[in-house]
Amino acid sequence: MILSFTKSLLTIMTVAWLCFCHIAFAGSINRVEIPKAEGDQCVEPTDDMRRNHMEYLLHKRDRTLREGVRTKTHSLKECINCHAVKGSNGEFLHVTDERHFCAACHNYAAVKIDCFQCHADRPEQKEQAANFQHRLSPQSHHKQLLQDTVLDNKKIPVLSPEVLDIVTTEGVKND
Amino acid sequence: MTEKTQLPRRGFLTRTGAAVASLTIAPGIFLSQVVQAKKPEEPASDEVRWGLLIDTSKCVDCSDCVDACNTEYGLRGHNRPETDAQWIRKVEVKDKLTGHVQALPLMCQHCESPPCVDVCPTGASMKRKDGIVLVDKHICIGCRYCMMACPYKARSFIHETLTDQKSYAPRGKGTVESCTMCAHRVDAGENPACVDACTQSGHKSMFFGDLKDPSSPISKELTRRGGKQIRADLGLNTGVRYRGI
Repeated sequence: MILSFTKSLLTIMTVAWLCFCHIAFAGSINRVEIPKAEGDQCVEPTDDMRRNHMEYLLHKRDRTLREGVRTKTHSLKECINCHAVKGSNGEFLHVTDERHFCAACHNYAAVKIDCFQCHADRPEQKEQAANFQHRLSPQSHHKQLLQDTVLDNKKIPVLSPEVLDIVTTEGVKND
Repeated sequence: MTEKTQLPRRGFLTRTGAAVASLTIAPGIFLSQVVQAKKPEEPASDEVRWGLLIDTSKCVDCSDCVDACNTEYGLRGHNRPETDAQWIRKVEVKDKLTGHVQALPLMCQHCESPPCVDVCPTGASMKRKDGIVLVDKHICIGCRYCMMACPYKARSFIHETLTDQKSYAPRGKGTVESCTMCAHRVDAGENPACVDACTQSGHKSMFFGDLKDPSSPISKELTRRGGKQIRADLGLNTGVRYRGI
C-alpha cells in the first residue's frame, strides 16, 4: 500500500517536474533561427551540411587554390550567393550582423569563424563595386577626396562633385 | 607542395625554338590572343606555363595596367595609400650612358624556381602546376620571409583589416600577397586584367599566353624577336619577359 502510494507520488512528481522544466526551458532558451536560403536544395542533405560543412569547405579550398579546380559545388562563394540575407534596407548583411546566415548559428554555438577575414561575406554587388573607387584617382574613394594627393611625383587633383558628374562613366557611379 | 619542373630551361628554349621555326607564318604577323579556357573541374596542368611578354618600347607614360589591377582587386581606395598593397608598379630604368629613360611595369615574375617558395616556412608560398606563383593565405603566417627573398619586391603585406573583398580574390590582414597573374581570369580563359587594359588603351605592349605551346602567339614572338628576363643572372627562369630593356 505504502509502496504503491510512493510510486504514484513519484510518478506525479516526475510528470510535474517534466512539465515545469519544459515550460521553464521553453521560456529561457531561444532556438536559433536559421535564415532561409534562396535555392530549393542545398548541395548536400541539410543534416550532413550542419555537421560537415567545414570539412567540405576545407577540402574545396585546397583543390581550388592549389590545383585550380573551380567547380561550384562546395565553393564558399556559392554558399554565400545562395544563403545571403538581406537587411531591412534591402542590402546584403555582413557577417558582423547576427542575422547573417553563418553568424546566426556560429554566434549561437559560440564558434568563431575566420573565413571572412579574407573572403567576401556577401555576394558581389556590381553597383557597389563600381562605386568603390574612382577611375581618375584610384588612390581615393571619390567621396573622401578632400585634398590633392601626390603619388609618384604626380599630383592628382581634387575632383569636385560637379566634375564627377561629368566624368561619370562605367565604373564610376555618383550618388 | 610545388611541382618539380620536368623541363630544364635550355631544353625548353631549344624545343620551343625548333618547333616555332617551322610554324611561323611571316615576320610581323602577330596572331590574335586566344587563350584556351580549361573546364572548371579540370586542375591546372603542367602542360602549360603561363607567361607575359612586355614590349617596353610600346609602353608609354600611362598607368592603365596598374589602374586595372587596382580596380580588379580593390587594392586602393581605402584612403590609406601608404599601406595599400601593390601588385604591379611602373618602374623607370635609366641608361646612365645615354640618359635614355624607359618605364616598364613590374610585378611578380612568376619564376620557375621562385625564391619566395624556397624560403616559406609553412608552404603557403606555392607554385601552381601551370607556373602561376601564389600565396595560400589559409596557411600564411605573415612572416614576410618571401618579401625579403623576392628580388623584384613584388609582394605586399596587408596591414589593415579589409572588408568587402572581391569574391574571386580573398585578401586579408596579416598575410602576404602579390600578382596572381589573374588566376581566376586565366582559368576562365581570359587574359589578365593588366593585359586587357593595355590592349584596350591601344598601346598593346603586354601579351599573355602559354610559353610551353610553340604555336601560341607569345611563344612565336619570343622566338622571333626574343625577350629578356630581369636579373637573368639569378637563374630563376621568369615567366614574365621584357623586350627593349
